[in-house]
Amino acid sequence: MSLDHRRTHNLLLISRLLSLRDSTSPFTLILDTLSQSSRPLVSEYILRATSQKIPILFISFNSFSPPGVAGAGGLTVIRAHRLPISALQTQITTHLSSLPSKRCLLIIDSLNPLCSSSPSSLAPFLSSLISPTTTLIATFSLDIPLSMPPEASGSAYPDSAPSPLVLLKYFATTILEVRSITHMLEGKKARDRSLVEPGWGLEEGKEGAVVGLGATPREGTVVVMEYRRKSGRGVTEGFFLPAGAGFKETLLPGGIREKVILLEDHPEWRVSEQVKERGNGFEDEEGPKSTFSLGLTEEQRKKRDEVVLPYFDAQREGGIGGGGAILFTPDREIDDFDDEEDEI
Amino acid sequence: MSQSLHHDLLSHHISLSSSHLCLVTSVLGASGSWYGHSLLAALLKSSSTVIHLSFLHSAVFHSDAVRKWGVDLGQYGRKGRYVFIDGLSGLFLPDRTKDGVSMQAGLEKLSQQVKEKVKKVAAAVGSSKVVLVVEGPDVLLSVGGVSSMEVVNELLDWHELVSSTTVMVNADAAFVTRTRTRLEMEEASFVTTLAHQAASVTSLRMLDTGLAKDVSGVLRVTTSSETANTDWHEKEVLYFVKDGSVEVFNRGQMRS
Repeated sequence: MSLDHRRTHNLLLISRLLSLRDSTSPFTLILDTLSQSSRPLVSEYILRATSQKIPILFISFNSFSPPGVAGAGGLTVIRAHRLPISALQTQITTHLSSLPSKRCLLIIDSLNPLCSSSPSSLAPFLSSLISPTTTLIATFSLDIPLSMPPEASGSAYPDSAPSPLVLLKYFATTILEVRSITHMLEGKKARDRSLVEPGWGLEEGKEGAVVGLGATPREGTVVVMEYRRKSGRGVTEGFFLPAGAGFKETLLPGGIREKVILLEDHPEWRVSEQVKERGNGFEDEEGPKSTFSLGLTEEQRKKRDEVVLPYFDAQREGGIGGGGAILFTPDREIDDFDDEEDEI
Repeated sequence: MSQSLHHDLLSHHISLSSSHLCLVTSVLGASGSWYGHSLLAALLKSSSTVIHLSFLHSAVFHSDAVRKWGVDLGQYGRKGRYVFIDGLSGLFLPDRTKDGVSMQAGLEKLSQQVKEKVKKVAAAVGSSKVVLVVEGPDVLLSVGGVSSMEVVNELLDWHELVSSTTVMVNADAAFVTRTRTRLEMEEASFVTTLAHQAASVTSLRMLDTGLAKDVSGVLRVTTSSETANTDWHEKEVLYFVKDGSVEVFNRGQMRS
């Protein structure tokens, strides 16, 4: 697939995902870390849903500042951190049935508490929320260790069962992993020089550092998408979701304007791909350094050009031997030369 | 000096408009006490009412230390602008002290006591003016045997009663990167959960290159993108705690 084709195709896909068109993905799983919070991406979802007047139900398990304080019209927040799952389920169903429109966006701020406290009810709970008219978006933080219920307790989760994250990945129709553009660029820079990629935050190797510098940058978010089609075939692509204006919107078929761009179209991501411009008055500093003169004088260059390389003729079309003949001149003293050998 | 510290490194605690959480982490070699005290002073100098719940120190320790920042806690206490909740002295005693909380009857009882005190203050001055500062709640995980989720849930409940919450916890490597035992897992889960939810994370740590005579440690502040009211997004500076004052400066900056 050519780049242009892929660009149009995949931008159209992410545009449909973010704008919740045609129930493209009933359950989208967002994976985030301390390097890049999922909040900018979730805000984008909320923004686009609000502009289409799709009601939003925000299920908050541990948000200290849930959205809606900012005042989005059709946004309802359910405080779920004290609710048992059955009560939460009832509340959600009641809310959904009270809505005038059929479509609804469900957002779960963090799946980690649910995975820690009752991993065995995770699957039934999520599948009860998925329906053709609702879109479910849930964030799972990869760097929060899950402390599962102890063995003896009532809600114990068997050791042999898959970890909640594996289950979630299996369920999800789309997985969006968010990354920090700053950290990705630094990592790429290191890779390009065959250096070890730097760690960030807790992986920085500095005791006491929790969040790395360059985490959740203001300019935008990198989104790595894995979209599963109904056939089961996956589409993977990296995108950049710019936070403000400043990036050109792409005009997609159907008159849709999309501000998301492919990651490889990000100007700073591309810069290391391009061969650096040379010859603007500067000496190439990357050249080998030696006390010997490795250059050629003009006279030497001229003489070198006059040298006729051996077997130069052979490279011509239908050269000396013609075809694929092997040119071999036996050396009388070294090679064992025997006329009769070929005659059998 | 304290003026510039306030402007640079405390502004994000004060100027945030909506409800939010600020996390302050420290390590054994770089104590967060001075930061907490300068924060208390700055909050009281602005028009906030502060509820200070400390699981690490007693009231006397704090009032002595904050006096160095030019603020008399006793005076603010009498005006009702500063309320101290002692989580240390009576934590395992039957509730005896007037301004303390006890865990004798479990975390829920403790939380109930905190909520009552917070509600009383919020009713008096209006919840939008109340800032809750919680120092060392991670101690509950290790001594109380409760899970990180339970403590986060209590913090959420308290947070709903006030305008903003600042939580100070330990982030030594032993607390945040090991996940072998249940306690290690709970500690790590507690700190990372709060860091995920926080609008700003302030981390104090020791100098990467070792001890120095004139540098006490490194202070890093990262804010999440929604809190766009500061003109900076993240910052890393060095600091030097002297007797009674703190100097904050950039790497390589000339100092007097």
